[in-house]
Amino acid sequence: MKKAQSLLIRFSQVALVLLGATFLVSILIRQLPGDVSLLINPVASEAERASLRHELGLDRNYFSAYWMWLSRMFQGDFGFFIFGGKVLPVLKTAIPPTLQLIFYTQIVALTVAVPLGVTSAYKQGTRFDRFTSTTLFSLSSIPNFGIGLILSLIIGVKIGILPPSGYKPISEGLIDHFRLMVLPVLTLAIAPISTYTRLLRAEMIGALREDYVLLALSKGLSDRRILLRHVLRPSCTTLMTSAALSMGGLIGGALVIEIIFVIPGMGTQLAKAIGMREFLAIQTYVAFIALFYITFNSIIDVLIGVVDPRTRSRRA
Amino acid sequence: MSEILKLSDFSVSFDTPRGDLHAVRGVDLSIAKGESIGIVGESGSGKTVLSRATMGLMPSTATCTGTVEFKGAVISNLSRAEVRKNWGTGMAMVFQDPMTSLNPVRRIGSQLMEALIVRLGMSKDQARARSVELLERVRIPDPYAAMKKYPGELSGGMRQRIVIAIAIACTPELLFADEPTTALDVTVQAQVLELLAELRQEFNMAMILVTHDLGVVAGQTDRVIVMYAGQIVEAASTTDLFRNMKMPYTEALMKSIPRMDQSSGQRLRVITGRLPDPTTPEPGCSFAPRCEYATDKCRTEKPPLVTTQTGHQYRCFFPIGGSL
Amino acid sequence: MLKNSVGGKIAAAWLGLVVFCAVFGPLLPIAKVGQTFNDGLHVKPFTNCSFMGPLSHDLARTSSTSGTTTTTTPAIEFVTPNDIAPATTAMPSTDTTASEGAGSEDVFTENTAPPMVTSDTIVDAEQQERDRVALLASTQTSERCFFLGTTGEGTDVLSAIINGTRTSLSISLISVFLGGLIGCLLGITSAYLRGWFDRIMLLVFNIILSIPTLVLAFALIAIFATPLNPSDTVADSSRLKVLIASLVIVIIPQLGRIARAAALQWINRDFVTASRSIGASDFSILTKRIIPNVVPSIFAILFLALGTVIVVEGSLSLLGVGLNNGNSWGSLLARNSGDLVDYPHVIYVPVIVIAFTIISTNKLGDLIRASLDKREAKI
Repeated sequence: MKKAQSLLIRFSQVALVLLGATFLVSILIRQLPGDVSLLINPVASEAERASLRHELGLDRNYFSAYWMWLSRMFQGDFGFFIFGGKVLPVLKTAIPPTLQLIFYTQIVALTVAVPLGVTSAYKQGTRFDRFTSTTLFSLSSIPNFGIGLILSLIIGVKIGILPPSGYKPISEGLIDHFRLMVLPVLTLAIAPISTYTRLLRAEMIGALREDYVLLALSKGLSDRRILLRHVLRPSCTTLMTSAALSMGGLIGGALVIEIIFVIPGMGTQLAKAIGMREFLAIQTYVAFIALFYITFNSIIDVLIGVVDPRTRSRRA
Repeated sequence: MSEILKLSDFSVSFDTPRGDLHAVRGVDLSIAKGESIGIVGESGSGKTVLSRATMGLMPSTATCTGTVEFKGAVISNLSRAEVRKNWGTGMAMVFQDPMTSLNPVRRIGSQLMEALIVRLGMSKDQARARSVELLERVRIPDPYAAMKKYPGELSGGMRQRIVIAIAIACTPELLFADEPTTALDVTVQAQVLELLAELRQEFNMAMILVTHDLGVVAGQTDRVIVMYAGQIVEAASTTDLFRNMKMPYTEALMKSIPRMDQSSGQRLRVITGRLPDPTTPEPGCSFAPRCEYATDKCRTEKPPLVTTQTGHQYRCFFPIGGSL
Repeated sequence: MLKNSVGGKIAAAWLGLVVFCAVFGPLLPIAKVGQTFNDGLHVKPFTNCSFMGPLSHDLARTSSTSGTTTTTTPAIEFVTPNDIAPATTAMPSTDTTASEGAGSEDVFTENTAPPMVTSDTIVDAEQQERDRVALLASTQTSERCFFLGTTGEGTDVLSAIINGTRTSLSISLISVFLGGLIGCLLGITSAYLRGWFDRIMLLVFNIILSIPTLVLAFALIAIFATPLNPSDTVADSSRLKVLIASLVIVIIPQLGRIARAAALQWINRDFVTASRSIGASDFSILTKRIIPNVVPSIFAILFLALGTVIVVEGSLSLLGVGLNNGNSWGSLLARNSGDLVDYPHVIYVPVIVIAFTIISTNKLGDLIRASLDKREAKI
């Protein structure tokens, strides 16, 4: 009962933020200087312009225009391009590459960072620990577009073992798909690897000082078992929170990396839309990105409650 | 009686930025099978470090010297992996604070069964059955429900019982109880102590009860060791110690216990001053600066540990009641 | 604080150099190999190429997975800086003051433009450069040394980097300072007042934070600094203002939330309750008790934010909404990312400079935080 109630509260908070975010975007779009209708049809008559303005909701106040946009979204009408065509089909092709990029990156980052973090916490202060932290600190300071460009140049062009850019959907062959994804994912993963490793290390060093580790030791368990079963688990929640937080940066990073590696995802579409002054499409894109970001964060939030009973009892 | 644990000239020091910190200095101690001894002292007197270091549960910043013999075999020079073989099955520990000594994100059942499965090679079902027995033994109501709970859902007393259950799970021959009742409510303290005494009888365990409370050791132990600044300052059988204490420090500890038979409004006696800085040892008796009987001799010369015919040991030039 | 840290000293030295370049950099003119080649060989910034064409164009490039990521014009293949320099004996180098700028420009086009050049669009388009570019022409016969090479457009990388420092640094300093200031004020006030103000602030912060930083900044600039008519151009200065304003808006909620959390921690401390109980006014509690304790910890975070903003600025340039005049580190990189294969150093240099700067700000931020933690531990 309590659980359902807290979930409901959580859900309404998320909905509120989502509504706020999309409303914000719709207000922003309204701030465009000049007459958008002229842009759509430069030779339109006064009557045509008026009907266009009505169609776009420009003759309404903020709230009713937003409501119009929102109800259209719910009906599956995601707007149209000023230069022709609907947004929906483009969205359908642009979302998968970006999502793939982001999820592969999270998977790679976690699979690299967890062992690194655990080992550096266990070997705290040793040469391995210092080497790892210095390397990651320096690598993560290189801007991601820099890493992307350099990787694409060195591995893609100079050495040539991997294609320097491009994208193929999974349906066109798994191997090709992954070969093309290696460099962009590697580029994107460096920053979260560094963040996760550092966090996990700090968190585990803290946890290793806890009494329950001593108790586990005094039971005669092996170091390995204690690290993985007793220390990693409570540290996981921090890792998950951090994974959720880094999502924002990752989305932004993915947009830029798409441009560099010529992946036809949301980033490329956003750049294209700005080049073509497709403000209606931009509104939809931004709303979708916010939707994804917020949803992901809420899922992580619920998952943390499952993994860590401490937060559960705190909330109850 | 054969000895289960023997410490000789055992010292522990920590490498700190301010220099070596001598937490335990030259302790000799032996415990017979099934015997129960109490280690008493203020916070910082080295009693917790002594018990943990004996087991080998020390961080790498600590250096231990001297020898520790467990069941006739020297264990102080063994690698951690070899010492570990004794943990749980040979020696086990009950920690001070049950709020922090249980892993907050794992269920009671899995924490209890873990040792049984890993150390005794039980199957999951066997371990589960044994765990329920253990929980029943430490008087947890509804053990089946408790197995599925997280530590955060239980009270302090319950948790300490579970810690005890975990400690005795592999039937150790020696149990360290490191201030097992300090963090508990007064009403629960007696129950936990009673439980420990019962279990000790039942499993014929030797027990080292570490506490700052002379009242706790009084009814529980065969012998009492009083520690001050990392050294044993007095050791005697419990009855002998309470009837015939030799050390001014022990006396001061005793006087600082509030007593029911004192008239109200009377001031509690406190021991003035603080423990000496463990990084810079005193030239003389370490208790001298705080001792009301101290003389110049006490401040410049170190008193040796004297043993009387009755086996009463003390470290004082001017013991209470005169030297025998 | 810096005493025991070699890394900290290096970081401080590097930042000192960056500040020096930002202050005095514009005195050093941006050198160019020879304007002559600009027109024929001008390679548009990569980002422009990718979205100016139709979708099919992108897909076509996508499928050609081998080769380069760039749309290199064939002409660029045979042009390298070394080829150019001796070829143009009357090589225009640059050295001028703003006052001379416009006048010398005419001289330059008349005298030195080889016949193959029809017009010098780059120089025409870029007001700032016009101010600097001039002619040592008639007297200059020796080769010019380009320590870090030139871009595909023939701009000297070293002087471009040094010149870009001012823009890059001022963008991040101004936006982080303003964003930090406003964010702190809002966050601390909201933590102190609680109640409805706090709730609304938190909701607003959460709403803004629910849009990823880069996406929000992108949307803001897209709306406020993009002319409706594609043929109109937005002046670089107004683009810069919008860029900074967008970054400020993005930074406010981030620092606001941190400041709020930090202030809440302090507000619940006993000494604040104590001063409240002896009748101190809200204002004096805020200024004397809370702000002095919150600000230092925010300061460490501001340092970290500086580096992030530099990266965001570059990312925005790559996405096509940032500066694209090559006048900041990020835009220099974005503008020349199309020449990746032929002029890789144009990428390496800004990347290394940005990386060093971020390492330095992070290092100093860490040191500040560490020394604060020590101070905290003493309290």
